Amino acid sequence: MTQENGYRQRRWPAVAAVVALVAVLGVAVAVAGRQQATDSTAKPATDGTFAIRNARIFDGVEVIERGTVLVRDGLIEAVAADVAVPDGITVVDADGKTLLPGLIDAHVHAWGDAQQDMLRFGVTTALDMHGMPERLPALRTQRESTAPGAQADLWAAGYAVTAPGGHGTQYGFPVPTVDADTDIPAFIAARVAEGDDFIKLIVEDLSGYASGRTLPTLDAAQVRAVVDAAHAHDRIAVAHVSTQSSAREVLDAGIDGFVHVADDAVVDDAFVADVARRDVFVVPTLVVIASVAGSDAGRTLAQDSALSPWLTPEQRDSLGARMSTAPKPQRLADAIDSVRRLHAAGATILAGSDAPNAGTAQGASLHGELALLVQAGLTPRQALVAATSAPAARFGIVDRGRIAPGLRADLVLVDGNPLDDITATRRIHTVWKNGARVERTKPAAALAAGAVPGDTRISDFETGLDAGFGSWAPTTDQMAGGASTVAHARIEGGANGSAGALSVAGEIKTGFAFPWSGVIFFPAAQAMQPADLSSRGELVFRVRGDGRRYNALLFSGASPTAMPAMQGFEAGSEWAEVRLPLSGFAGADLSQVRGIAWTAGQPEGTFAFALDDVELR
Amino acid sequence: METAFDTGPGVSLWRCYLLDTRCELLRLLREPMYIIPTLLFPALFYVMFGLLLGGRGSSEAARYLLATYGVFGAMGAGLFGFAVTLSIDRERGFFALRRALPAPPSAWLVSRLLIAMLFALAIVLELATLATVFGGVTLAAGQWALLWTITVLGALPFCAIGLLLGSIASANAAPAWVNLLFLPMAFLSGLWLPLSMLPGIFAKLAPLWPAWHLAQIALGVTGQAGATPLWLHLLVLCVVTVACCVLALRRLARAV
Repeated sequence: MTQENGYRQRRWPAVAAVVALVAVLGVAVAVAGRQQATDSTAKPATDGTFAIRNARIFDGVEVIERGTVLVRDGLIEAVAADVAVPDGITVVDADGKTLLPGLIDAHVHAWGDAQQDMLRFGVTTALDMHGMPERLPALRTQRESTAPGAQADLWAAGYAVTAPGGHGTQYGFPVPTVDADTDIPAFIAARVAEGDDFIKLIVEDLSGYASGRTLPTLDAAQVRAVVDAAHAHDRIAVAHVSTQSSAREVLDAGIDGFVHVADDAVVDDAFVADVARRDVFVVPTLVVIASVAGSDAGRTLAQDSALSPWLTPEQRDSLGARMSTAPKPQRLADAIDSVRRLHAAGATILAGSDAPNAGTAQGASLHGELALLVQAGLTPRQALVAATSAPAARFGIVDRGRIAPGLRADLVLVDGNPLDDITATRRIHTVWKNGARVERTKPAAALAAGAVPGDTRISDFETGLDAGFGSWAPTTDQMAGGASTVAHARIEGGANGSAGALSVAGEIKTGFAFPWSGVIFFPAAQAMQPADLSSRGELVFRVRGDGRRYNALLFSGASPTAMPAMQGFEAGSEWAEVRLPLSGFAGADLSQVRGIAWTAGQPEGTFAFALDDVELR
Repeated sequence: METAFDTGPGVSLWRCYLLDTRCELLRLLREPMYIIPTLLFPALFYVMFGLLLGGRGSSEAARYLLATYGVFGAMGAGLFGFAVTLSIDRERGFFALRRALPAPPSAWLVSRLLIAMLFALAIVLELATLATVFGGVTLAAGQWALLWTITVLGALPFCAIGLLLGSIASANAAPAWVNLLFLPMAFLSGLWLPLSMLPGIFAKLAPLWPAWHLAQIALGVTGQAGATPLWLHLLVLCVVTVACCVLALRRLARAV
């Protein structure tokens, strides 16, 4: 064997080694690259073009057990058991998951963060049943856009139609009303001109609640005139009712749908037959009836492990509240029974939550409603129809509600099979709005309430506005759009001959429905941060003033925007000590006190008072 | 050299390996140029980037970097241990000397492999101590054992790469070549910070680097791996090891 031959024989291992090295690294890049592309959780589909494969698909009506949905530019391009997926687009493998059309909540009142909150829970469209009309053009623009959005879209009633002083007028914004002299066709024409997508009317005299109170409401002739006028403008008319008698009256007027099921008794056979015969739909809103019935269904929903992490502190508070604390389980049982009978007779049932009323929260409560609808006899598939294709069809919404070619790619992918177990809708994996993946972020938990020093004295104003803990600040309704003013300062000469006091003077002006002006004490280091005052029992201070009646407001709880609890006091011309037991602040959460305010309210005009020796004992 | 020598009774191959290992270890311990960067830098970097910068507030970063700095350490032990010492030995004619010694030729290789793995073990134990005491990292006993095993065995592919480098480079150039490979590969493999913090192209190219594959296996133990399958990482590391060994041995057979 020559040297030459020896080298020749040994050359192939080196070549093989190099080839193997190059090949394996090439394979690694290719395989890992493919993996990254299909790893849906790592790469958000931002380009609006993607495919969802191996999903069980509920298209709004029918089920495809295993299929593919192709989305292009925010619209659904194809849906079938077998769709050719173009190369190079993002593919989401949805094995073991179910794809639903974006959910539609057929009864909400949306303001603030409502539209973001809904989207986090897979509700991509909602029907707003009463609110200010100024926003209607903007809502229309938003829902017609196919740009990626972070909000659910709304169709809205604008102002609900009600009587002067009737239900719907108590929410702090002025509402045009219908009285005996109103020209109803002109009134409805004005609403339609404002941009109402449909007409909602309110027939509510509180007679179904045995509360001893009654409310003015529309009479039968007015209801009929409103419904006729709505139809004349090609708008459907829907009605709030809570009693059998008003439901019957509205039905006879030719209503298109009810946005609550009456809960004063179980519906009778004649009514059920008429609703079915006239093809009137019903949005039962069982979740809010559960709250009226004093059930803790909202609280239970808030504890659902699939929903809980996505709730804001405000939503958690709202779900934890109830419309009534006295248990009236019969109301809910009757309502569920009525839904069962209406459904059995073939009436169209739509899913709606009436969020954010006490006991409900935007988005989350629709999942609670679906479960209650199943409890009332709908199959899970029928319940899903009630939250997708049916409301779209009934409200004339043509671009969504189903997974079909050409429709908007509002999609919800959930773990498991909601067609077997309706609560699977809560286990949301991904939400797409207009074909763009929604970045669902878990809201920050409420900050832990800070401890405060043991000192009972807050301020004696001997040398300045310093406090034993916390701080003082002015507060007026200007933060809510009002115009009231205030000035606060330390003045010489306080109670019992002491050196100084806190003077608070200002003027209550019109501008906000519930005007206020005064000073606020923040117990924590920062404004409206919670502090734990549960060891304290009494708010004590000395006050002197113009003889007007003032309010002490206590802001507390998980949400900084919750309504404060209130106690009144007088400020006479002589210094007097006021002692307010903290237990007198109804509903306050003393473990999370965010602020205590001393304020003037209605009537309008100037005010002045002085505070001294403020203590929390 | 085919003649059989009488090595005397009782001198087993393992004893030769151990003796060689002891001598080599002694040599390296006297060489601060090797011992300080290899044994101290991973721990030092881990303290700075994992514990002081990234670890505040969550143990997520401390856990991620525990795995990746272990890989970083094993990589350093393998690359420096082989490339630099091999090139020095080659230039000094140490192999010619060894051929004249009554020692098995494989002992040179085995002793260095053992030392590289020993150093890798020392590094992961350092990191584990830092991570549990200061980083708040908790792993199950099985996870610790698996992480250490992976890191220690993970030194082997880098021994092979070091072998190849050492068989090519001169003694002067070897440390430079090693650093040129070592530091960029560590960075591009996400050992210093997760690749998700870098432009997307780096994540696409990451499968080119053996260190990335080892890091993915180690991160699998701490529950932070990506979506690529385990077999791919094992395949790449095996092929790299074998290919580098083949090339290096061929080169050595010609050059020594």
